Amino acid sequence: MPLSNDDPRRHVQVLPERIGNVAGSDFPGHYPGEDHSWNLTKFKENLVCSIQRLTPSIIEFDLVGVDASIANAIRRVLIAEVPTVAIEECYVWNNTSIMQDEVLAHRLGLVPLNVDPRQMSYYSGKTPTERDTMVFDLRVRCDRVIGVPLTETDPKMKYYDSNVYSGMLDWKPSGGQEDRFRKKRPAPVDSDILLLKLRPGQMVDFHCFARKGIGADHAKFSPVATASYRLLPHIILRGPIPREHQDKFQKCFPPGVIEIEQDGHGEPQVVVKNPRKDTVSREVLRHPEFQDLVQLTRIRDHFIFKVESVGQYDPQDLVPEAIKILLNKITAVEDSLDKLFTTA
Amino acid sequence: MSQSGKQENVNEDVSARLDNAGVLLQSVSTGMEQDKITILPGHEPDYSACTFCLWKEDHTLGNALRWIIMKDPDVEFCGYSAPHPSEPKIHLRVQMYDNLSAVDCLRKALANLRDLLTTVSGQYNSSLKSGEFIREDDVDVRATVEATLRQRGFGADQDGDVNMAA
Repeated sequence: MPLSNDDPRRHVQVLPERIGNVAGSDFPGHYPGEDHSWNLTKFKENLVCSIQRLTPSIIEFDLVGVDASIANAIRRVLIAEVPTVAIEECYVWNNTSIMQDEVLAHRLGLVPLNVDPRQMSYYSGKTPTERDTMVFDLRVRCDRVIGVPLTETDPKMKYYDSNVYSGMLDWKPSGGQEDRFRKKRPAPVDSDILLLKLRPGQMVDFHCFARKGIGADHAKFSPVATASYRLLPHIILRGPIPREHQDKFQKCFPPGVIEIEQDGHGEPQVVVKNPRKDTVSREVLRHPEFQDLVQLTRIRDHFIFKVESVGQYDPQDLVPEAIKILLNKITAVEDSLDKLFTTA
Repeated sequence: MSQSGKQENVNEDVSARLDNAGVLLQSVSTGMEQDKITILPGHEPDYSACTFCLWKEDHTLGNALRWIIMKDPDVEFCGYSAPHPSEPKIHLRVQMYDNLSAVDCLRKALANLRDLLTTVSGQYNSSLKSGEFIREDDVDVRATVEATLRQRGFGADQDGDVNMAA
């Protein structure tokens, strides 16, 4: 059974000038006669992990019953340690554009590629192989369109390829890559990222190596546009709101949070309808007439995650990948601990 | 207490190596291989109080481990720190009641953390499989921008830079 939201121990208090009761106290020895030691069965009973919303790029899910350190570990791994493939090395054969080599190389690195990182391995630092390196060419030359009236001012009409877009990155498969990536041809996730502009006679010729890496090394490798969580708001009404103040009370919250409904006696009463929509603006605490009637809190162990994928992974695949990486970390520490006590 | 048997086998060499501060000073620049976990000098001989050094770990694992170790009733104290932002390591301090082994405790904590994460992953996957959630399309940013521009009296796509067809 999930825990009750009315348990005051789960409440982080949102007070007018400060927050209170921030840290949890569910540790052994804190409450006499209560057992707060780690218990997997109890944890399983209380844990809720339910997906709320899924779009092609965003997943929103609730994680209830874990400590902030666990939720934060998942968030941190999503941002900094789930690998992706991005352009890491650029060989400049020619660049007569006004953009400096290193600036364009940096821009190329930031372009998200739709390569599945699970099909690639990390670059060993030695000879590149088809398993760890993917080659993209960018060869664009701008030319004048013949027969355009001199009065024309629109560069799109006057020139060929005056704008260089990410879609012009051309994948050069090597070895078995053609076969392995048959399903989804490696290319930038978005083909309409403007990389630079050219004028007639200018050209760029870049030879780019894409490699697998993690966000801790460079933010371009981060697979998430944002991975964040917030705590579920919880509004406690300590008494009935007088009828003359009910409209004002409702307007202190975003639409949909508070509704006015008829109670059993046909009297209009204020009810908390959907606290999830609340922004916890504390507007209600500014009005003296509501001071003792309402208490704003958040549920300390109810995390509402929102993860937005950049495009390398499907959004629903990101969290399992993050957990896999955390499990690998645990295994690495265990293995090293074994080594520490067995080798002389 | 699987560890206690092993501990008795720990010979002089190992304790000497564990107490060798030089082990900790190997850095990225020297290119020397560093063990994932070492025990800092100054630990209790029976390992009832140790500071572990976890190489190439940060708050991600540090805070999660600290929490799960604190869930153990045999633990008197547990805390962690990242000694310096440019050293990729954390120090994890564990002190036990009744002279129990902190190494055993760490092993147990790691196993518990694995159980926890597997449970979360399992629940996540079953929720995903159940399909009981809202599925919808992303916000069409381009259409929204164009609609706004039209509304404000700007001709949409006048600049033309975002138009791939050009």
